Formats: sequence, structure tokens, C-alpha cells
Amino acid sequence: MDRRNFLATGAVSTAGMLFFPGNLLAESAKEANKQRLTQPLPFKKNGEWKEFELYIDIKVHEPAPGFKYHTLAFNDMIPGPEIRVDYGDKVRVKFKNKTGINHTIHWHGIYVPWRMDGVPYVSQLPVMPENEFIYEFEAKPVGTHFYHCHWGTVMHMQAGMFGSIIVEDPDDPIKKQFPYEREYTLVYGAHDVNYIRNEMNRMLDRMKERNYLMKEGRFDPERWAVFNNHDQFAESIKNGWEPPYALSRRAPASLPQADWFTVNGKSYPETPYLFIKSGEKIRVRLINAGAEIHNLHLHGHDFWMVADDGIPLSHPWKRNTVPLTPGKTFDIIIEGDNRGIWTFHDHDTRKVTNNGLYPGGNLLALVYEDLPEDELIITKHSGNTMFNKGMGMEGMDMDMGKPMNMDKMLFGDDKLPKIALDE
Amino acid sequence: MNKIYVILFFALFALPGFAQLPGSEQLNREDMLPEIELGIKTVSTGNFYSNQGNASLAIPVLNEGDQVLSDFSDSYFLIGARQKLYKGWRGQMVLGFSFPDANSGLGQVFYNQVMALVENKNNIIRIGRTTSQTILGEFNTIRDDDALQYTYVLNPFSNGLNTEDNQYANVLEYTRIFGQRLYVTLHAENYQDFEEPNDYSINGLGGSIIYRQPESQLWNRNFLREIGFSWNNFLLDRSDLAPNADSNETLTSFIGNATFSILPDPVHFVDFKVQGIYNDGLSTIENITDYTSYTRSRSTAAFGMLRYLNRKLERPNFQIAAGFGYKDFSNTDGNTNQYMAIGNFLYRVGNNFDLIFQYRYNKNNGALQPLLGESQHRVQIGLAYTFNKLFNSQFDGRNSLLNLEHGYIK
Repeated sequence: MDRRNFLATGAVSTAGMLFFPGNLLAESAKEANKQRLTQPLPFKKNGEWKEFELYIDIKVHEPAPGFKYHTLAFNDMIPGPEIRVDYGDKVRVKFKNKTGINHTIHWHGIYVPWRMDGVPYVSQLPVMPENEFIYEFEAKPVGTHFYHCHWGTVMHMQAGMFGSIIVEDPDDPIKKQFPYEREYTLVYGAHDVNYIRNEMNRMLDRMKERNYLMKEGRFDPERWAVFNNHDQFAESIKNGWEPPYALSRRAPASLPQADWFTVNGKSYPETPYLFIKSGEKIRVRLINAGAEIHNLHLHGHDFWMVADDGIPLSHPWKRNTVPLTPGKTFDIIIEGDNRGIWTFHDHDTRKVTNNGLYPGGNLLALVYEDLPEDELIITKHSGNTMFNKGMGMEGMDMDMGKPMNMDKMLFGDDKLPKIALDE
Repeated sequence: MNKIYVILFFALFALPGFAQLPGSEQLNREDMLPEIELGIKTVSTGNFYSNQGNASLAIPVLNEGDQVLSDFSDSYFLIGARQKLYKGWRGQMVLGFSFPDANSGLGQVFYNQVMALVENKNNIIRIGRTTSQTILGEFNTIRDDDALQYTYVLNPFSNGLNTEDNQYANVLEYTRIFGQRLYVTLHAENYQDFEEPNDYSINGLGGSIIYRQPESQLWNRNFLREIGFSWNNFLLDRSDLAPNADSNETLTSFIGNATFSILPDPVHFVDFKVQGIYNDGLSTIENITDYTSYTRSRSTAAFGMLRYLNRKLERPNFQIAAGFGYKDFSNTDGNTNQYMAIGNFLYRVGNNFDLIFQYRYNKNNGALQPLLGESQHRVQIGLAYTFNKLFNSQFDGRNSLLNLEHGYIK
């Protein structure tokens, strides 16, 4: 092995360890990809109940290597773990609040009893710091749904308080029509990390003060802007109390402007891959847990829209771009009929950015496992004579007095895909 | 002393982050949008003075008799910018000016902040004109200089006509932070010298050790919020400038301070701040005949202030504070001392907008009377409006709740 080959082999080995895309057909890549997918939440069976445990805590999260911010994370992960139950199951979720601020859980799309709906001061009191709340409901209706915090929702959802809940139908018409073995859940988020940071600091600060007074039983409706009824509210205003919104007392300077866009809590180049084989059908459950619209477009394919808000469509239809609006879930079936590596991304390309720089955000790829590794080699299959082996610029005198290894400079380890980031 | 300069120079500058110097087009091409912060304060009061005794110090408000004037001193405008640097460091610049007292000799405005700093989790390096280390902590007076003679180590190069000479200096300062609570600082300063206003050489050296509870930890209800000790040296070696003057002399002062949260209640908050200054003085000075001998005499000063803050709807409602200061000159004949009683009341009429009232009585005894007058009653009534606005927020402060309690992020 000469020195040049030694260096090249060394680079490939390192890349494999770091799971760079050049190696994404390797078995290790598929294994590593599991960490980018939603993680199942185990349950215990207690009589007729399936019992789950969720807790919320503050965590330092890294959506892409080198960038970290403080988040609110269910069970230390973003998104929260996936709750997967069968239609009609009796579900009990014990929720523990380990943070210094209040929370609830809203079960988005689930027919819960109204007292389990997780709306603070409407269906329940907030779950205070170090307190627990037990949610109980029957798993209905079938389909792709999600859960999220409903306290300080603008900040708490952006900060990571969301996760998927899948109610499976034992007699699923979608599976009958489009037989599939593998499925993926993709939870989309949009985050103004500066807003999250400032608001979280503010909320934590306020709650330290409030907790002190609450422990002493010194609750004051005007202090906390929580009133027993409309008459009490009106009476306070009549007596000179001015509501916070009238004075911008605690309002942030502006509404959030998302600058990070994630899928399963990760931004490109850490977003998950969708692996597929030629001839295979995969089901992809799309959930928008953020406050931005994502116009999702798949290259090289049309896919079947099979469910909307979890509700199976009686007449599935084909699209290659769908607008996933806030709070919406779509289920799609992708048929593996065009072997390759295809990007699947928001066609509002402002959301394919990290902190304003393209590429990033929710850019991810559909990867055919049966793609021959040979096809990844740039110099063999580029279709451009300039890049073909032997036709490149290797050895060319660039009028700089010495020959340059242009192949090495342009192609690296001579494989696609690569990670390329703007500056 | 030259050795100290050399060590200080290397300690401050032989550190990462100073490898590049501006000056070429290529270095200035990077397009960055930093965090930008505006800080504005207006303190406008109507002042009533009633003075007894003639003062030789040429400050109009010390003139015997009664006076009324409009005062907007201590108001300021600050603009700052900061951004992330390489390797987890942050850089900041601050430019600002304040409005000095009338007839202070500083002009209409005084550029009190022209400063750059770099910092990371455990280090701060500050260079430029900024607040000097002649005080530890802050007191709850309406203006920072309301009790200046008791709360600051006085600048021995000053002519006493303005207070800014004591509060600001051109500094080289390095701070090392341990455990996000203990601040150890070494600093060198050029204090304004009224005899040589164009001399910018280092004429102050010192250090401090301060334990400081971050502000974000206030509601964790620790009793001790701050305790500190500092050591300041003014280098009086002016033989090169005035051959017949005292040479090779150093004026040394020590400061100790503490702040206690007596009642850390979110509604009825009470704290107490106290500070003592010992100025070793020059042995050659046995009498106070002018402002220079006043600052260079051996003295011991103590100042304490008790504050009650009423907070309504999670915001300040009103505040009452009372303080007392005493300063004794032990090397001077004639039982020379001075004391001050001060009290103020602030009532919040809107976010960051206060009605203010303050009364101060100051009494000078012994050798101080010919210089500063016998006594003064001062009453101030006015308005104060302060705000800070941060644009393009990008990262968290070192002492935020998130960084302190949930893992520091570079």
C-alpha cells in the first residue's frame, strides 16, 4: 500500500465511524440511523391498562454537530418517545415534571375525556414543578397523532415538548392496500432558538419567585394573572389592574422567527435517512409539531397520500409535494420504483437552512439499500467526461509551476453523497 | 515597577484571540451581524441645596447659602455589540457617554465607556475606558456618585471638580472566574491626572477577590449575596514630570464589602450593603489643605445602606433606602472626619420609569471644613427612566439560569 492509498483508506475508515454519508449503504449506517428515528416508549401492563411513564426535564440538545441549545425534552429526547398502542387500548401515562416551570400534556387528535385534554386552567390545573399528573384515556381514533405541552405553548413546543402517538388498527386498510413491512415517523419542528433561550430563562426566573410564594400560600390572582372567573377579572381591571398584554409587561420583543428546522429533533446533516429497497413499499408518518408550514417534496417519485390527520383516505391519491401545516399529520406510502439516493425536503427552501445557512434544516434522503456501491463512485458514473476517470485534471499543469492532484481535491474519496455546508 | 508592566502585558496579551490585528482589507471582509445592545438612562432632578460654611474647592454647589438647580448628570447612553469568537470565546465592544455635573471641567458629555473585552466561561479581559475598580458593589443611591466620598477610593490625581475621575479609568484588566461565583481580578489603570491630562501611562495597579452570587440566583434565597476584598495602588512616581515632587511613592488602599439579603422575599425584599475603605495615605501628609491632600491622607471610610423593595405584580412597585457613611482621617490634626446620612424613595409609575426623591445631609469636621464647607442639606425630586434593548440576540449570558443550573453552553 503506497502512502496515497494509505491516506485514502484512513479517511474512509474515519468517515465510517462518524457515519458520513459516503458510507450510508453500510450496515453500520443503518444501525446508526436508528438513533435518528423516534424511540419507542415501553409500557407495563397493569390489568387492562397499558402504563407509560413520561417525564420532562431541561436538556442541552445538539440538533447538528457543533451547535447546542437548552431544550425541554420528554425522557431526555427530542422528540419525546413514541407511544404506540392498539385501537381501544386503555392508556395510562404517568407524567412527572422535573423542571422548574409548569407543563401539561395535550393529546393532539386523540378522543380523550375532556379532563385529560391537557389545557391548563380549562381542563386541568398545570402540572407544577416536581409534581405528577396521570393521564388516562382510551386509544381512539386510529392513526398518526402526537402529544405536546399546552402550557406556554409558543415556547414549550418549540423547545422540544412533542412526541408521536400512534394508534394502530389491527385491521388497517392502508396496510391491506399497500402492504409494507417498514415504516418511519418523521416529526417536524421549527425553532427560534434565541426566543426559546430568552423565554426559558424568563419563565424559570418567574417560577423561582412564584414557587416561593406558593409554598407560603400567598397566591394572588393579579400577581399571576390567573382569575377564578370573568367577574373577578373584570373587577380587577375596574379597580385599576392593568393586564399584561396592555403594557407588554412580559411580552418578548417579537414573535418567534424560526431559525432552526428539525426532523426528529435533528437538522441536516444529522437528519434521519429513509431506507428502502427496490420493489418495497414503506409508510412514512409525517407530523408537524412546529408552527411553520412545510411543503414537503420528494425527488424522483410520486407518493401515495393515505391518511390525513390519522384518518385513512378511502381513495388515496398521488403527489410529490404536500403542505404539512402546523398541527397536521399525513401518512404517505413511498414505492421503491426508482433506485438511487433522493432528497426529501421542504420546498420552502428557507427551511432547509441552519441558522440562515443553506443547506441544513429538514433536508433528508430516501436511500435505496440495494443501490450498488459502485454507483456511488463519482469518476465512474458522473455522466460528465470532466469527472470520468482518466479524463479528469489529474496531472495537469495549472500554470503554477507544479502538477496538482485535482481528482483528490474535487472528489475526496470519490464517492457520493457528501456533506457540503455553506459558510 | 517596569517588571510589573512586562508581566502584566504578557498576562493580558499573550493569550489566544489576539493573533489577528485589523488593518488589511482582507481581514475586514467578513460580514457579521452581532448582538447589539442599547442602554439608556435619564435621571432628571430638581435639586435644592442649603450649605453652611465656605468651601475652597471650586464647586458651585458647595457655595454657602441656598441654591436650586436642574440636574441631569449621571444620565447616559451606551451602545454595545458582541459576537461569538473562535474556540468558545466572545468579544464585545461598548461605546458610551454620560453627562457630567455642571462646571466639572469635562465638557457637555464625558465618554465614560470606550471599551473592548473578550471572555469565555472562566476569563474576562477588558481593555479601554470603563468603570474602574475603585468601588466594590453598588449602592442604592439615585446617582452612582451620591456618596462618592465614602464609597469610592478617591483618585489622588484628581482636582476634585468632577466625580468621573474617580469612577472611570483607562484600564487593562484580567478576571479569572472560579465556580461561576468567585471573581479574581488583576488590573492596571491610567487614572485621569488633572496636572497631566495628556499622560496616559499606567498610574494604578491592584487586584480584587469577590464572591458574587449571580443575579439570576436571587430567589434561591442565599443570605450572603456578595463579599469582596480589593487592593488598589496609585503610583505617585511623578519625578519625571515634576522633579521636585514626591517620588517613588505608592498610595495604597484596601476595600472590603458585603451584601446581605436580609429578607429575600419576592414581595417584601430587604437587603443591606456595607463597604469599608482603608486608605493608608502618605506619611508626609499631616494636614488637609487642598483636594490633593484630602485624597492622599490616611483615612478610614465606612458606608452602609439598608433597602426595602416592594414588588407588585412581579415588578418593582416602590423602594425605600437609607444609608449612613463615616470617614475619619487619623493622621490629621483637629479631629478631622465627615459623615453623611442619605435616604431615598422611588415609586414606579411605569415599566422602568420612576418618580424619585432623595435627601442627603453631609457634615465635615476639622480640617475638612475649609476645603469642603461645614455642612450641606440636599433635596432632590425628579424622574428616572432606564431601558436596555438587545437586538439580534444570539447567545446566553454567563450568569443566566440556564447556563448556571442546566449546563453552560459555549
